Amino acid sequence: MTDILKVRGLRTHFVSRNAVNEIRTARALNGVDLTLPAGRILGVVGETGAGKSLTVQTILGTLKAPAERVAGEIELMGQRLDTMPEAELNRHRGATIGLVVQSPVTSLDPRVRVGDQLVRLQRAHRDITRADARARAIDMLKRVGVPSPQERMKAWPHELSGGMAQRVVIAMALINDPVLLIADEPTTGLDVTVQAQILDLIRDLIAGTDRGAIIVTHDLGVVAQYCEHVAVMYSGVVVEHGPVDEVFVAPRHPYTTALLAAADLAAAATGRRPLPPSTPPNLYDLPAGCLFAPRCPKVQAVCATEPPAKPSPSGQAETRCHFA
Amino acid sequence: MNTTGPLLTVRDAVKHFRGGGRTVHALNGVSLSIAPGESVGLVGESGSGKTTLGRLILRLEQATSGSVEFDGHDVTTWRESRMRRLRPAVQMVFQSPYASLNPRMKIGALIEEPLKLHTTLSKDDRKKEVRALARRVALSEVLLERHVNQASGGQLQRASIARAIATRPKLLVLDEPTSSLDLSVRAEILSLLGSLKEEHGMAMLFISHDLDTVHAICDRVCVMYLGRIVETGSREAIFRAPLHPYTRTLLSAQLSADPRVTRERLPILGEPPSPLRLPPGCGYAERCPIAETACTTKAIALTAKADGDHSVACIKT
Amino acid sequence: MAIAISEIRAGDRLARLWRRSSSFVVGSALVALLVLTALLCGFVSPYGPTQVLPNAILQTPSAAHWFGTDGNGMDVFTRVLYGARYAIAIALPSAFVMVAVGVPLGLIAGYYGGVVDEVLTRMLDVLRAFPSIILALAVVSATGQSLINVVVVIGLIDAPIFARVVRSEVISIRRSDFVASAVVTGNPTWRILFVHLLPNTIKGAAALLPLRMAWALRVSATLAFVGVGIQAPEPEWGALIRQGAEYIISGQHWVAMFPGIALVIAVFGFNLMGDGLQELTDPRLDVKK
Repeated sequence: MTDILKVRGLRTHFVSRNAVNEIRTARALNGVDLTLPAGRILGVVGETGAGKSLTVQTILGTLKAPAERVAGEIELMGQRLDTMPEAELNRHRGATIGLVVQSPVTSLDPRVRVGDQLVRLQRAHRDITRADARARAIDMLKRVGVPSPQERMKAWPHELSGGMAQRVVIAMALINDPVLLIADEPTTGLDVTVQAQILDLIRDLIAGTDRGAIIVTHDLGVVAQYCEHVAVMYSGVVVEHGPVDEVFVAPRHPYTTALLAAADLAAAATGRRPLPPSTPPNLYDLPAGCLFAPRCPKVQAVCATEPPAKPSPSGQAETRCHFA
Repeated sequence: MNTTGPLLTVRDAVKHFRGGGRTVHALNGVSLSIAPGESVGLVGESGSGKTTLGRLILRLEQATSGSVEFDGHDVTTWRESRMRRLRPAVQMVFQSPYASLNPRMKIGALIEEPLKLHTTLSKDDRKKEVRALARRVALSEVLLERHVNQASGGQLQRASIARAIATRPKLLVLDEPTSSLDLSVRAEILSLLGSLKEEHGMAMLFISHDLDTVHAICDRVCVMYLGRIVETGSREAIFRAPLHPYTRTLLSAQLSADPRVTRERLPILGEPPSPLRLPPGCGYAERCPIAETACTTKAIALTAKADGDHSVACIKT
Repeated sequence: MAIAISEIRAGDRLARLWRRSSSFVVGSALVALLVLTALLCGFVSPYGPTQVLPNAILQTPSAAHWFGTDGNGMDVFTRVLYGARYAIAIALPSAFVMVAVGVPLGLIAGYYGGVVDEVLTRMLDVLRAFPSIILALAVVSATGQSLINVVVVIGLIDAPIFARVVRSEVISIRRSDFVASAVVTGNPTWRILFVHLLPNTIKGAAALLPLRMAWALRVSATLAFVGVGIQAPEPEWGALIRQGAEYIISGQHWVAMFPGIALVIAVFGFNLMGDGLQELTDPRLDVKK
């Protein structure tokens, strides 16, 4: 089985100056490792501020100042993205890499009809006649479950419902046959019935092909039901990585355990507190040892001083904890 | 004062929003009652009218027709000045604490406000009570001196809850109180609400699109679709033996965080309907896999099923 | 050491403010100069504001009379300095009237909407439709030429501008959840208007204030110039200019020119400060560190 995407030691910092002109560094990503095999969906899960979306932006090379990648390797089908010139990288985005973001509004041009957007995107990346591009666009809309696609080609983005707009965005992400589909919170804010339709669609498009997808989400249910692999992020590191069936059934990192416990809302409502009060880690002043140590229920002396070893993200479950 | 009857009764509530030559049929005849101390979940997807119903109960919206009774008083047409005397007894927690707390006020002042308006406590006693409320909702006292933009979503939602329970209301309406929060914070807030429910014995109307959340905290569940309640029953009845095809579809679309649990997925047909154009019969008919001609022609009322506290608006069940 | 750090911080803050809006810094400095002049003119001016020097009539500027003297033998420098007091005495109270009348009307119109809004807005529109200088002229000449009348008339004529700004702000936030929350908590309407809406809608009106104070100065000077405002020998700049206008033809330009320059500087200062405030409060221009 080939790996579509390999990410090693990704570090992204925000560098700014404070009122007295001292340089301050927010260490947002602190060595992210990910591996995505072909035909699989990898779920990247974590809470607000864990660095999920930032990981996506770093992989795509779309970071904006003051965010900056300071270390790490990104390999897509054996090609290094991190050292690739911007112009070449731009040819990959929208072609070999398809992106679906949370809000379809931001990825559709409000001034261009749906069909024209799909046609333009194809002609920007490949040599194809307008008629062929149109035919493929209609076909793709049909595949993503847009009813009467021929008519929808003429629709304006604002005429689409939220679920329909997200389907069109997925059609755009897939129109150039990407090897890698990245979906950043693709169903957040959508109704559950629509969410199920969208996720079914992504699964059908990936399973059994030589493509792969990354779904970034805070919803453990999405990961449990749709992803084969999972990377649990906390404070800019992947604390646990492996097959969903192993990680979610028998979590080894205390943070994963706590997160799964928090998903058991019925237990929460009857008074079991899953975690010590949730104070997000201060990215300007991260602990020297394990980043989760200040909140960890199993913390020992070594956790405060020694960072736990990196998980080697092979297929097997790996975890960044001294005691796992 | 009525002591034995329901705390809240909504009868045949209809709410239409008119504007721009169009009419949005947000509520199309909803009846609901809540007993003292009971917690009722109101679930549905966007456009189902659940938020409108919550706002109507609080008289933030005026019903087009129908009535809202609280403690035996029909408050549907009460003027705001009269409503104000009832306000301490019916409180609300909104979805986004960032949007629902005045950004120019300190968190302490926001929690103190209901005490200032509805009690005769001295300033010192109020401050003491604010600190006690903060302790009760596990909000650090340091935060009382801060403004909204200096606190996290979870902390602010605790403050909203403290503000809402300051006058010890008999009914608390919660409109998606946890849906903007992170998973671990959501669990903490639900745990807080669960303990408040037991402690104060206040009734709750919990509005949510998330069935897991409702399952965790509610005794009874109402499922809304297109401005109507299509099924209502005890938590066990709704989650174990749902009757309405929509309820079943909704339940089957819930994603369990346990990969070993795989619910049988029911097919979902078509698009959610538009509240601009109401079908004459059952609102769900055009998406329903078991619909027949009769479903599309006449309105279908909620009908009690054999086991009593379980009603459904479907002629096929 | 602590002092040194706080000095650095203050200097740094000023530098950052300068980067964000140099107009605000310059404008505020000019307004501060005006206020200082008004406070200190009694101590620094060499003569009394209406003191007549019989031997010094229409003298050219000199070491003894920096700005020369006027036809009554009064020192123009002294009178220009004292004019700052009038400028403040007109700008601040008329601003107060504008805000005290305009802001509540804006809050009420915006919050209630519907008929209340319609009626209020139409009434204010009618008021705005009159050329304001002519309206001020007519009202002040009808009610009598005192400082108080000038201030009240200027304030009332300009109040609709504040009403309009506040009204549109209120309309943009009245459907927000924090207002709904204030209603549910049981706030009486006056508290919703003044405790909850006002602090969230006042930014635009506050930024407008210096601009309208500049306008008030201009109108007051105009009224005095055409002879219905504050009258000579009171050292109001408009009155001074009127007094000096008759000497311009005969070549004694200093009697009108120096109060004119003072007026321009004061109006310019308020205008710059207002522009600067708008730069600082405009969210589109907000540069976060």
